[in-house]
Amino acid sequence: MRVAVIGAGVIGLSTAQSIYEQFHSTVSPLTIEVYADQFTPLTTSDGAAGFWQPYLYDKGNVRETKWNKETFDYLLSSLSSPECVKMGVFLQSGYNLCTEPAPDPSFKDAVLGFRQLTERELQMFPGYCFGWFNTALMVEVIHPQGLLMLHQLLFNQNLKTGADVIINCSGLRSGELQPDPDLKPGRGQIVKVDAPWLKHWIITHDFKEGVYNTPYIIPGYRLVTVGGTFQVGNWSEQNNSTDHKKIWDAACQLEPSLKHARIVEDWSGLRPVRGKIRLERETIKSGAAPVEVIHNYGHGGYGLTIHRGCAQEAARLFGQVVEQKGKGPKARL
Amino acid sequence: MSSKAPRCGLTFRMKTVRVAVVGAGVIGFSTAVRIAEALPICSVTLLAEKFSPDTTSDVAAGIVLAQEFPDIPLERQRRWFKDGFDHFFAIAHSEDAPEAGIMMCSGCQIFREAPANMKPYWSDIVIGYRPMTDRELKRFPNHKFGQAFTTLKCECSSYLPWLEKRFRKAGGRVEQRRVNSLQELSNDFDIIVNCTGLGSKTLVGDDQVQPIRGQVLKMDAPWLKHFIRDVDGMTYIYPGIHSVTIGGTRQVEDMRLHVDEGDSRSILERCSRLEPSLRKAKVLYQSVGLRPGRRSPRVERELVQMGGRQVPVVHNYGHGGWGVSFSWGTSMDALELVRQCLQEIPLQAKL
Repeated sequence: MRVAVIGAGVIGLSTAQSIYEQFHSTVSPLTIEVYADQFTPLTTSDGAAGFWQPYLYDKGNVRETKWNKETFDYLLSSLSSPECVKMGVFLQSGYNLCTEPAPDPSFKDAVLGFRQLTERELQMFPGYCFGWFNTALMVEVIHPQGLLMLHQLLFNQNLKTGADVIINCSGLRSGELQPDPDLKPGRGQIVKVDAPWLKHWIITHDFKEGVYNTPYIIPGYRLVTVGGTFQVGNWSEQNNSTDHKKIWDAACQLEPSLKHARIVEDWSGLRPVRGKIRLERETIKSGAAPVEVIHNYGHGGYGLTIHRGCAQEAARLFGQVVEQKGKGPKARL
Repeated sequence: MSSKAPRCGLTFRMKTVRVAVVGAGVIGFSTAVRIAEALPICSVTLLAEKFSPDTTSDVAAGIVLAQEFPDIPLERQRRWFKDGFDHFFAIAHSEDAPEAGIMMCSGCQIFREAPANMKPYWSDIVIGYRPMTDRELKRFPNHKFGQAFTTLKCECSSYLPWLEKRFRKAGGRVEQRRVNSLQELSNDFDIIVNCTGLGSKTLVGDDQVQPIRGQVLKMDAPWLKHFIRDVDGMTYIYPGIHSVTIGGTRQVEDMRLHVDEGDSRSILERCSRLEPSLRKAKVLYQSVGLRPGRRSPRVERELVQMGGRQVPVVHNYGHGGWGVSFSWGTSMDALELVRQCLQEIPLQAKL
């Protein structure tokens, strides 16, 4: 069976990994090739702060909440081994701040030690009167070797004829492969700074401004990611000085000690925004034989957060394709 | 010196009171700053043989935690701890935080067996104190109970120079000098404040003071963002600004200042069991410090016969492994004691 994965961001690579893990011993031969115009460190995923947290509310999309939790549990289990360092997974606690009281977020049972903020904690953040504290996970790709290993494992240069299954993990560019009016860019610009005394993430929420359009500060492995912007419909990948000033001023108000942080660089990326993630099969009838496609794109600003749950679901859909094509173990009898 | 001219025509000239603070660790500098800032009538000189980065305080990770001292009323200890916590908290949320070496840090203390006291006196002083959930405890299979909270960390290699700056700004003077006896200071100073930590054993003959050797490793593990302390007091992981301090040892009456390789292996093994990722971390360097152990800190004043007079001496030493945490609080008490000494020094009225 020949599988072509389109896209080498976190969704493409994790889906390739899930399919490999689940089927390489039962489907033989299994060739998985990853096609992409950008590989790490140039993908959208690379610009992400690497912080596990879904949007506050799932609007009834319980499948996504389940996938988010699966991803959290999967990453959490990696902590018991020193391999977590190579995977770039670590725990970090912090504050979600709101300008008004709000219902509990969708992820309250997924994270560790979730609780409301105390009065003293709220006093630390003038302008915010409500919020939560919890311990979450970070997934920061520190050693590209980890992902590179995956490339070498899966990459096969000799695909001349078509693939049996195409896994579409092309993120924002999926619209170029197949029009999708629901898919839009959610432009984000961040400032990376050196402020190693910060050990908590701080995410602010203003329901009038919309998700990630108010400041957030997310310490990473060695640098701190400061944001946020979420400009739907803006396709520019250039850094914008007005955005920089807005982000920086707001963050320094939130965290005065940032005034002494050394600014390293700005970065802009386009989140693949969609009403909900497109994770489904499609059989495309074109030419002689129909092509099996599994779509896995449109993860907005929570791709890292949900990647494993979606990859496992995509692998499950792949299993259906395998069954249908009679390529599973039963077919060998 | 200050002078007033009241209407009755008498002039009172207040003589500057010369105060010597001996010791340049966290206790010495905290106390010196308190006195210089609160008592302009005092001219304060800090004298010490060793300064940062060569003090005991420099070895300490500086996590702000508390324990109960046996001989101090609970209310007084609580006040000491709260004073310190509020002080570090204010700096942590100011622009001064990175220069002063102060940061907020969340984490946990873990217990093999559940403690008798589930709500220790300091639990409402630290932030967000709560018992750990079962899911959180899963990471520590050998421990049955844990306390999760947010506290502060004070890195003395930055904090002491920051205090010294503040001290000098308040008019304080600093002198590098080994003080062998309090007597040798009695000619030049009116009040002596003794913050010599372990040095008090010989300086004032306090047999209660004993060195408690502690060794630490500084690790390059910037992915660690939480502190973990096993309440046996021997095993801890404290992420700092530029490195993670892991430890430790508690060897009573052990004065060795060099690194012991056996201790290094033991520390790495015990800490890696709590935090497996440490096995992938590089050791940056190791340090040893001798905690000034004592049943409880000595914060009191006395009059000592020196030469022809009774010289007031204020003691502030013996904080064991809790110096940073109790530095600001005990220095407040020491300031009060200095104030009391001042009241007993006669004013010189000039007609």
